[in-house]
Amino acid sequence: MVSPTKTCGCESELVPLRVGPLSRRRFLQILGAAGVAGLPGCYRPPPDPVAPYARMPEGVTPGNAQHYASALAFDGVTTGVVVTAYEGRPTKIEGNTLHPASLGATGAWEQAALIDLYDPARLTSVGLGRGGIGRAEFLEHMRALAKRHEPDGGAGLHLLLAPSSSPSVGATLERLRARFPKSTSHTYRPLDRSAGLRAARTATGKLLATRAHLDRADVVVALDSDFMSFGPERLRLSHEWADRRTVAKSMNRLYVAETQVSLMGAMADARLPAKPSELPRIASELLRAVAGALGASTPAELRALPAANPPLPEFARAFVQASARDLVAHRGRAVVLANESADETVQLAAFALNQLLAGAAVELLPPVELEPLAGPGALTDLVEAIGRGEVKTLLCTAFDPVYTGPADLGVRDALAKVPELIQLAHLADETTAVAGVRVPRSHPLESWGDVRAFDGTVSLVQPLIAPLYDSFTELELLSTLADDVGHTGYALLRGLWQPKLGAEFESRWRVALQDGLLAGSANAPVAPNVDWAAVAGALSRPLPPPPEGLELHLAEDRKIRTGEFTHNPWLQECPDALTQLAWDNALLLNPKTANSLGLELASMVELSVDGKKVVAPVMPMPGQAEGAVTVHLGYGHTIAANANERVVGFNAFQVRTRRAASGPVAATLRKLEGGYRFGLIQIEGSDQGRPISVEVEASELPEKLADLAHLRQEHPVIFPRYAYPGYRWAMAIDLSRCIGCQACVVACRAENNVPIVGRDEVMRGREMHWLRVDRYFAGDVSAPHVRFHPLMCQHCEDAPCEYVCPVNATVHSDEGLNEMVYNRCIGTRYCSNNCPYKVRRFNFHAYADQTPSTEQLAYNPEVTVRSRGVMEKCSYCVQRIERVRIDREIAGEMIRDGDIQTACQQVCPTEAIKFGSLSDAEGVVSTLHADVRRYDLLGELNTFPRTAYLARLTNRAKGL
Amino acid sequence: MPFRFPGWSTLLARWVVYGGPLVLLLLLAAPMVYVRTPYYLETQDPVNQPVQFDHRHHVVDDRIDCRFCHQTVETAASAGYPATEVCMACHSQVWNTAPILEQVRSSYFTNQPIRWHRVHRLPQFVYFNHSIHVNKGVGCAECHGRVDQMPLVEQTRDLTMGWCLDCHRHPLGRLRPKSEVTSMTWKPSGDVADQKVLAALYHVNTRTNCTTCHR
Repeated sequence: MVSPTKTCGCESELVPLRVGPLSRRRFLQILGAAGVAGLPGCYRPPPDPVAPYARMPEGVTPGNAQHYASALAFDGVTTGVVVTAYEGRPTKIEGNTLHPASLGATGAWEQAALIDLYDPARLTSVGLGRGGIGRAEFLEHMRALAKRHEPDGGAGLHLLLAPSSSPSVGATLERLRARFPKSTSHTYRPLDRSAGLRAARTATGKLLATRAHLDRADVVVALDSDFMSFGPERLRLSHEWADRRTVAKSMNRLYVAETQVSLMGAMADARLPAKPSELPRIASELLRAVAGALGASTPAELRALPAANPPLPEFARAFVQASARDLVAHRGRAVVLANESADETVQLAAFALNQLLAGAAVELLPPVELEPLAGPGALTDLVEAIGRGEVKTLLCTAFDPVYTGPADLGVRDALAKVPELIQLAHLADETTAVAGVRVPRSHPLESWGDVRAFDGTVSLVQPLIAPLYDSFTELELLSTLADDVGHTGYALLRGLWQPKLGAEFESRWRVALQDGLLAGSANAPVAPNVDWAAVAGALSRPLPPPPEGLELHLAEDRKIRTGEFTHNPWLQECPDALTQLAWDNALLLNPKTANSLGLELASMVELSVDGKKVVAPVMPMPGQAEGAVTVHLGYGHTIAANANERVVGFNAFQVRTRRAASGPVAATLRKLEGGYRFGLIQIEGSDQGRPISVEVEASELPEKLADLAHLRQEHPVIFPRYAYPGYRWAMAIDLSRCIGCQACVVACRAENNVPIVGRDEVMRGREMHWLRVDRYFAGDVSAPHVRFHPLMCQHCEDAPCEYVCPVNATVHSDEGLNEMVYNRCIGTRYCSNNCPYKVRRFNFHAYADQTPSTEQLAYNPEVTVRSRGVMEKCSYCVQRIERVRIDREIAGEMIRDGDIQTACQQVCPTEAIKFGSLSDAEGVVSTLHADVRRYDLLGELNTFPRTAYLARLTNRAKGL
Repeated sequence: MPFRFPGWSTLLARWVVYGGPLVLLLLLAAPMVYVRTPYYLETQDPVNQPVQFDHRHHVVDDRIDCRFCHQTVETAASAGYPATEVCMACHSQVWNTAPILEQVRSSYFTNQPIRWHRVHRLPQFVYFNHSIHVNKGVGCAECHGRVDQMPLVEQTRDLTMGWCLDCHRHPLGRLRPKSEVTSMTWKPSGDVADQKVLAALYHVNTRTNCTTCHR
């Protein structure tokens, strides 16, 4: 009898080859030696211990997932999530169908937030000076600190806080201010997002946030800030906008004026590229045009607004006239969105226009943030206070102010002068490098807390896992100063809500945790009185003269924001929707501007602004406003750089002076020698006129679709097709709805354990995304049509990959799935060769083995982790299909339409992806497959794909 | 001098010509035989455990049903191993000072699991689900054998893919009423009509496509 504790002696298998240069001779030597080592043929797998619980926690069935509602906040405001966990280990984040800001969807940020929990570079214990201290010691340190500040009422105590809407943080801050009345708190955020609130205050005397209901809008004009990429309402607004993109529901029309091409610009029916200095003029011209058209029913002050000075170019005037006409024609159902634009003129004009035109489509709400007017100014105030010697202790919970602060403010030197700087941080960054005390920040998935959504709905944050390290939440850290004893987040939370929820606290608490929101906590809309004279007065003030030459546009990055996600591999490897860059950023120029400066793709330039310089590679971008240069913030961040990590991209904050942060400034470019290599996920920008991502003008629908007949499986074939007896899994992707947000790409990676390959491999074209969103430009280079096209395995009924596999590792199931069997694959890659869609990904290296061990905790246990030499591809989330099938079989029922949601489908904010069985004639997929807009990608190859695309409808404005 | 083959050449040639194909055949056949031996398949090999749990006593003498300990067999992919507190349900009173149960008690009181040694091992790329099998009328003894007769559990079946496919292709003869799933002594009637009734009653729809088990 063999004792499993004895091993057979042949321990390890082949040493994994390093990714890096290895000569062929050496490779063969290693191969030969390893082959010999494997010869003894000894093959007992190592002993496999099983460790059940000693005491089983309640409600846990090992192997079955649990789902808990929680909340993730960005800039202090949340959209509500539901987290999937296996045995106390969160593995996937989904949207919360009950939450008004989520509607069951998430964006790419929420999906990628999971891997931050398992980041190997996280701070793990409190750092003091050069060493580390334990939790008890740190609490003692804070107690002593508080005692030192008490006698003078906290005169030298300053707080630099991150934006927050948390009621419990608010209550803790009140206690802190009561204990230290002379202390000062500054709430800092690098980009100004309160211009909308200030505009509302100019108009009404109150700080009010605009909440749009795009389901009630026939015409939407969006200015400057992308409502599909940014803002706590982005998911709901995208959903409502997309719902109106069908002719049946009387299609809406979207006008966009912006500097860089963004998602909303790509989806726009009419788009105006405008320099940053032109946008305020466009906004007030629009208001003037609308007020004039509406005539006597508008306040006289608005009709008397001065014309734009300097006047707008011809095409901009045409755009303004056309959009004004459309807005007026749909009065009461027209919305102007300025979203998070930092320009007060744009915001004020949008506010006024909504008051005139929007009717029920816009409502005004009180802001939910504790400090609604938080902005970059707070850091300037703090630095000035440091200069005056007023700051003895600074408790900083804001994200890396040394990195995000203005380039000419000297933030690093100022903070280095503070005697006691306590920084709450996720990783070691530029600010922790000057901080005397470095406190690890708890991730939301391991913390207790509360947070509000944009409409005021309170969500409780509950942990899915005990804190991995010795970390603190912002709430807990503030409590160490505010209270005599530092309390746990749980105690603070319950301490706040018990009196607020009153009599039925326990049951209401439980329901709030279960639902992910506190019912009835939303704010009521406010109907203010508008002071039109004040509005007109503010808009009549002359604008600063536009800068000479190229204008600088500093934009928040769609993926990594202002550096919060620079370390997040899932977001770095996910391509940017428009530039298709991974692990990089670029200086974006209009191709004509680039040509005139003698620049081309990957030229290097030195960008100078007010004497500050940074070196950047150039990317000519169709649709970029001529005369404006866009750079994305958040890169070039030297965080947690170990020997293997390189700094990603260039740091645009280096040219963000205070002047550049507050208005349009001029930028000069100087061409440098040398070139650059981008990690581009998609290199080709044009579909060469082929029907890949098909766009049809809604009014031309029937005629144009005759062209697609050959792509609709309506042609005869020689061989009889297999009659699938049972379920027939299929998918439909509506290109009218896909906004290119890449949430599905990150969700697929999270669900299917898709490995990260890194920048070098991306440059070799070896990225592993099972699902990608291609983007194509067509038309004029300054005003292109931009099209998105999500593409994954089409599960062709007549799949070219299946009949070329020498070992039958990819076969077709009796339900229509093209199945990939990883353990059979020997890596000939013939299947990928034959695939016309190029959706198969090959593990050229053991990418999964290179995943850090903490990140391996994020693996979904339902999906195999693939090793080197194995092909993988989209499986229609077969693990979800099988799980639902097993559940239904046990219950004795059929799988109903909607029971199975693939990962990409579940997170899509616009519900662009639908999955189901064609055997259900009334199912959503059957309906969509029969839709008049349906076509198959490369259908002429007779692959009979199960994924059908619905051509994108456009509603182009006449005459533009 | 013209070349002459040495005397032993004939013998060598005979050995090579007759023995060569034999050797090649053996080289081919030996591994094929090897992977079907009980040694390789790990059958007939009772596995030592940290606590000497005797199924004979608990199943036959005490009449404890399989599901009392393997609690998630009807609801999860894994049948589950009992948490120590399940053992302590009885052994906090019965034999509660016995040295043989020392590990169980210390596991309970220190909240550290007992590290059992897995007997039925499937490769990691195989996703086997107990609940669907048990709910469709496949008995425990069908795959695990007469556990009630094992002092230490051993693997009695191949658990190879071919063995699984055999039943998936021909399920009739291996089904039993769901009430008899945990019975160690139930025998089928021998009449295929009864099996067909069970298959219809439980909607037995065995699948043989790859992603049934390989995901």
